[in-house]
Amino acid sequence: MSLLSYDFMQRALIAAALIGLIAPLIGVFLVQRRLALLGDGMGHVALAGVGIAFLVGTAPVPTALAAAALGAVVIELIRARSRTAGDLALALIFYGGIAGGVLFTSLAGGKSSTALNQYLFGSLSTVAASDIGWLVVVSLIVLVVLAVFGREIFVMALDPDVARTQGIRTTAMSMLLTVLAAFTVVIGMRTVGLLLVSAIMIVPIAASQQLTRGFRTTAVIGVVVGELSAVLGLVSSYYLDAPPGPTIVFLALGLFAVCALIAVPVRRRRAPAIAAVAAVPHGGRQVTAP
Amino acid sequence: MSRACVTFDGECVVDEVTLAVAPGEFVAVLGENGSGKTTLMQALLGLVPLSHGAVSIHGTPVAQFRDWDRIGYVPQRLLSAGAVPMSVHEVVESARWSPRTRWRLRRKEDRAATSAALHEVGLWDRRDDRLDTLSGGQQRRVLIARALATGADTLILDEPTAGIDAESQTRLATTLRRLRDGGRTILLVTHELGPVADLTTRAIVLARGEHGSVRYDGPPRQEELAHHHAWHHSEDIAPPPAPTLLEG
Repeated sequence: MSLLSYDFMQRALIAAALIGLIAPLIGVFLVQRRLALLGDGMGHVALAGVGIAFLVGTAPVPTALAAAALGAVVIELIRARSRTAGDLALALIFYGGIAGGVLFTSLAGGKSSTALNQYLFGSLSTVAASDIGWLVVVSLIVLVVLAVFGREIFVMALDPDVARTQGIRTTAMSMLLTVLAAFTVVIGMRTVGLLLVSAIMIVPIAASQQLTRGFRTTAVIGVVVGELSAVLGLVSSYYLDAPPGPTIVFLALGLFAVCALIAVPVRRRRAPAIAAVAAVPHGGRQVTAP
Repeated sequence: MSRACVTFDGECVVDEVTLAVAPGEFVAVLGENGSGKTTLMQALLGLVPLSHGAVSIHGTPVAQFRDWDRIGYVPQRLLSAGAVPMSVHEVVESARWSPRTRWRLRRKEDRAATSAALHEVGLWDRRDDRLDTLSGGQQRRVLIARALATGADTLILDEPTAGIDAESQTRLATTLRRLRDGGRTILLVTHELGPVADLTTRAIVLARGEHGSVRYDGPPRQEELAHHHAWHHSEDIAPPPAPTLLEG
């Protein structure tokens, strides 16, 4: 393929493959905890980091990473301390993030405003060679942390009280998940963009959960949908000469629609089987005459 | 648990409860709705803060307690239905995950414990089904299986029979008998003893009032339970004896 002969396209594809892998793995926990919009908020906070980077002349990826991680910790502390005022405080942080991002970028002047647009909706050409190192390292961190703590995060998402009786530190796990979501936002900001990165966490899970019966399978199929959306969406944006964020998200939504259509006969086929098992005495154990 | 009090919004829900549970005991905690049974269990597990008093589990203050794999807990409410499907097997198997298993892969004994627990509650054939396709009673059996899969020596079950049919209650009683005979310590919150009456070695009756939460603490004699169950409806009956402190 000719597009692979371009260095910027190779870098963009690596970045897209990383976000296609990582985002659904985090998204499955966010959806389970009914925090589907958390990624949106983290994107707003990361935007403030990008604005600060423009203003002080540092690299955007590590600065956005620091801002998003700090925001994640603050958000979790607020959520842990106050359930009612927490919602309001979250809104204030999110609005503050996007306002700060735009304000700092304007103050930075020059071409920063144009560059901001690329961070909002993604861009094929903005993934610098130096970014790839950061994105790979952050992705590896997310994968290792998930491999070690994923089962405890799962129990916490299932029921925090039960998790505590298993010795699991639920506040720490909740904070860890939010920080991982913040990292994921930063991984995706180059290709999908900060305004749409949450979609690549959530839409693949929304698609896969229509076909699955278990958490692990949902995550695995979510990754397949995420990779297809990210890589094919990026390639489409090259040919359409459009920002990659919208094409990736549209492709993910298209796959969601396909899964929804496939799910109809699958559910119909399963329903009689479940009813038959439920009708057997002992909730499913076959009883045979002696 | 020593002179434990739990207060919500200034209202005393658990009042001056002092009790100790000996290893191998089968304790039924009885009382009407709102008498503080669930809150007492949550206080025992350190899930709700005490306004005063102290709780120890297996001799260790609850805040410092780390041997959580010795505790199996069945909460009163069903697991919240999240937006992501979870199979029955995944939910039961999750009982095996804790900080102690953080650095290891799933082992043969994890699979064996999960499988045994699912067979015990009669849900082996539903193991691959989505949790939210099960009835309320079946979901409660999943929670019981989850507690059994821990392999814990102490089980705290908060109304495990709520919403499950008579046959399943009898099956649960058989399971609990086997666990008790195997030396497990069991605390069971229930509205009525029902099928576990002959398993129970001790009954604690709770009620709200001015004389502490514990109305009766002793052998599960029907006439005593009937008397103390009715006591809080009648103010002209003498208050109950002071709560018993049993050394564990």
